[in-house]
Amino acid sequence: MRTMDDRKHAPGEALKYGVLGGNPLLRLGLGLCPALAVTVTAMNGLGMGLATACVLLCTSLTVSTLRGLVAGRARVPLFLLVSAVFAAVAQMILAGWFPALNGALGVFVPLIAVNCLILNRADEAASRSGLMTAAADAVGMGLGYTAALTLVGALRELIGRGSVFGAAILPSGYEPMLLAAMPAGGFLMVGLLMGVFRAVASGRSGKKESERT
Amino acid sequence: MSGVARVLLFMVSCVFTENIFLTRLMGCCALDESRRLGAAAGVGLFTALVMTLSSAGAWMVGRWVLTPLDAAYLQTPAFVAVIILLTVLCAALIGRIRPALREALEGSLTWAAANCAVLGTAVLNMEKACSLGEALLSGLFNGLGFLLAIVCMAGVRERLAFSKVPESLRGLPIALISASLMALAFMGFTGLA
Amino acid sequence: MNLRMSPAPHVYSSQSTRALMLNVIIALLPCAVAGVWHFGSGALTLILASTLSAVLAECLWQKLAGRRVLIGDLSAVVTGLILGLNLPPSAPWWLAVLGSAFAVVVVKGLFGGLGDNFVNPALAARAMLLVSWPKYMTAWVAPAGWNACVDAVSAATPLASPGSFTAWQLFLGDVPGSIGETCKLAILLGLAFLLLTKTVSWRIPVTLTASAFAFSWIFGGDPVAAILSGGVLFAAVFMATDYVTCPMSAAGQLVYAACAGLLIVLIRRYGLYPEGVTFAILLMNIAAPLIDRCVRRRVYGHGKGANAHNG
Repeated sequence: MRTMDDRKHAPGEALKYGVLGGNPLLRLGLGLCPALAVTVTAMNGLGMGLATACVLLCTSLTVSTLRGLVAGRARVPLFLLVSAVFAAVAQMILAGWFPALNGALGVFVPLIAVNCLILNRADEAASRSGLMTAAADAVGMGLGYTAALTLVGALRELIGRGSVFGAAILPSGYEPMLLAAMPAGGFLMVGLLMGVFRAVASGRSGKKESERT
Repeated sequence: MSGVARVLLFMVSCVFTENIFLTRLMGCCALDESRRLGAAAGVGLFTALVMTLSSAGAWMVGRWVLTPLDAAYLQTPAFVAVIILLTVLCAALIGRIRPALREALEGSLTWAAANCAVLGTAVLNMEKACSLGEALLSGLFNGLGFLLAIVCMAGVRERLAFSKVPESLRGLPIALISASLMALAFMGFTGLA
Repeated sequence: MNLRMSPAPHVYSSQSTRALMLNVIIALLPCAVAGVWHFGSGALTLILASTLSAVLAECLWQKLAGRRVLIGDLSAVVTGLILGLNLPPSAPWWLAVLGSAFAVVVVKGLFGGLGDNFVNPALAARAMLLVSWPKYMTAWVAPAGWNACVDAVSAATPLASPGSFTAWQLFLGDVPGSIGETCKLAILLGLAFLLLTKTVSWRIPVTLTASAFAFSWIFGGDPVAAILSGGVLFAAVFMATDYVTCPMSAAGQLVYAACAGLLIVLIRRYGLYPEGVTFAILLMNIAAPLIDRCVRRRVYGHGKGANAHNG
């Protein structure tokens, strides 16, 4: 499930795979920590997703460029160091240009460096393919991750505050469910969404099977 | 308050009230490693060891190297480098003492190094501007908290292996939902330290 | 041959489950009656809402999940009833509905149904409600008969203001609190019935109560008031004894109950929440598989002496 299928080398396919069928958070289970912790609001989810996506893209491109140079046991340390450098850059950009978001995301901005999504894509895709493929994979996965985080954030904000992106959606009589903003709520939301996505996906593939026969 | 009492309270805070896995939500990528009790205990102990050493190591690098050089922007790569180094060292040490254990840990070494909990503790220590002793204890106690969470998780998942969980929830989704109930239970520790 | 593995308890047939559940429902009736007696219309609404919602939720979930609809085994009724009895009488009805649905679907259904949950559904739902809507879950009214919730005179529970009630008042339930937990007499009647019908063993209720008593005394409180206030007795009899979520071995159950008693006292005394029972038992539910691991019965032929015997 986590390997790069040959058919997905085409940029269009990679994009679709990253967002839907191979969605890193909701299908592959990658990048859980930020998804559980910061997605209290939709804006946090979006911001975290985009920041991670940028670091992912830069890391993947770098790893792809360096792919002949390092092999064996030293690969993982290399991936970590590369992503740490780009995470540091992201930290500086966020601190300088988006201070409110930076404050909201807190300690999870430097933790982008050890996001298993970035590590996994570097290991599975970028270190084994050329620049175009690595870029397509990174963009697809990055978009998928951002979409997933934004979705989780939007749902948690809706249930926990009655708003989405700060705009009140539910009527004022709504009693917010505070659990949504808590760790327990985060685990529950991501777990349920993963289940729903998997059920929908298997329902679709079941339909395709029966259409073929 | 006496020193011992403060340390004990700090321990209760790290292990229960502000559990790094279930309350502060760091180290959750290790959920995949928590399927069997023995493996979870091994991963947890190794991570706790790495966390203790790297908390201290990162503190030293941060205070004695980065701060004088006014190079706080290098903190993340520097800390990651320290963690990788210590992970490799610990693994080598274990390899000398118990080679069989080293074999068993092979897959989880990446997780010890790439664990948000390890880097997160190091970063938070710098933010809190604590002393070396406090950093070391913070690494140790948070490591114990991580071990507790992952062992409890494994206990639950071993039980779940025999349950009739619906197909689309099997594996990670139901593990997350279990973690949700565990996190809910751990909220009972609020205010204890 | 089709071998199906499942967690303990292992003997399940709809008949025997139904019989057990019926006994529990009968045992709960005195508490329900006492609750309605003290807190009136609000209490009745909540009990009915939570029970009906639990049954409906289980029915809908089992249909959605493509399983056989097993509401006839009455386990949903028990869950709904216990949750209802755990709510403050002035809570809004939708709280009961959401709580029951959570208990039956999320805590039980998603894990595979009866026997597969690892925490007590009613307790987990109560914790969820407490965390989600604290202002409704911590609003108490004085016991004033049928219109207690209509007039809604806000009052402090025995845990919030210790010493304001006599032991007799605490025992008969003439105090603010959750619907089913206040009348200790009713709870003891229920316990007697459960023990007589051999539905539960004395081990957990007695050990938990004794442990809470002892630790309360050790930490400097009034031990009698401690076990007569709040939900200790109700939980000891009806929730800690849930077969599915407590350890399997006898020794394990003693450890489980003793630790639960300690946690109750610690949370009450030092923690944020005035009532520690909910979280204490949930935490011990989580620890139960580990307790079972540690307190394993030695199988004959294995262990230290085995090699000598086996030659």
